[in-house]
Amino acid sequence: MIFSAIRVISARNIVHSAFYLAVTLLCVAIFFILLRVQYLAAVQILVYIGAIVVLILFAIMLTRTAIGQNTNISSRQAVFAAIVSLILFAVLSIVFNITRISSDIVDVSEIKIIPVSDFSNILFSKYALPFEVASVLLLAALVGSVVLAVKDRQKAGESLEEKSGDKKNN
Amino acid sequence: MQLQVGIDLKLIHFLIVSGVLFCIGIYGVLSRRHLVQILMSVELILNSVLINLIAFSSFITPDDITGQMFAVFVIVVAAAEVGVGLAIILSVYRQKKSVDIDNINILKW
Repeated sequence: MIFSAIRVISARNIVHSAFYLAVTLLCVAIFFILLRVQYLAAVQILVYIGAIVVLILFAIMLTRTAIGQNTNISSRQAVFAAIVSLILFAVLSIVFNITRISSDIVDVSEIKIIPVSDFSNILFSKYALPFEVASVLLLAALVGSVVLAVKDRQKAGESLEEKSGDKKNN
Repeated sequence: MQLQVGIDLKLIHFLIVSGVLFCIGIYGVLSRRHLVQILMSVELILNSVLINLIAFSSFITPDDITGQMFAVFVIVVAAAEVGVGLAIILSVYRQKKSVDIDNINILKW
């Protein structure tokens, strides 16, 4: 998983890095199964691999820059980026070392599975308001992406009118 | 359904994996120049957060599913973010004929 994650950011061909992203997301789903949340593993596969990776591949295709081309790293920034991420990792490992998390469960084999019915009961009772907010957010994102992605509507309308005018003239 | 894992997988292992994934994502966001690849790195970061949420939820509060609920909402927000982000990338590409962030400097003064 770590290997494919590294390939995501180091692959020279951007299509390859999209496929490595799919592999990484699949590994995250496997982690979820290890943690006994099968429902979320299914959601992860459906939403991420089914939708997001396909969407990213479409975007690559539409912007059609990089198939075969190199997408090179800007070397000046890469040094700083490496320094920042290494410092971040050092801090994280220090924190992992000095904290002692007290938990009853010490091993994954002791985790018990929570049935999906409990999940949905709580989602629609206690978390009903966040659920609605999330649906409104999705609607806003849908409308916003359509507005952004639609080509210059004025121009499209004009060219349509021109075309129909041409047809009439002909 | 009892899954037998050969080695002891403790909470710390999941935290380390998630930390490594997060650092890789940060490196990708900072160093890559292709817009779509930056978006992919953001996905990596979000996934490390998801692993963290689920791991803490499963290990520390095994009877409570608040962490899983949070993870579901994170997935929803990530999906919305990718949709809007790709639409922005498409419209930028239409304007500038490029997806290299070095060429997109209209916000620079």
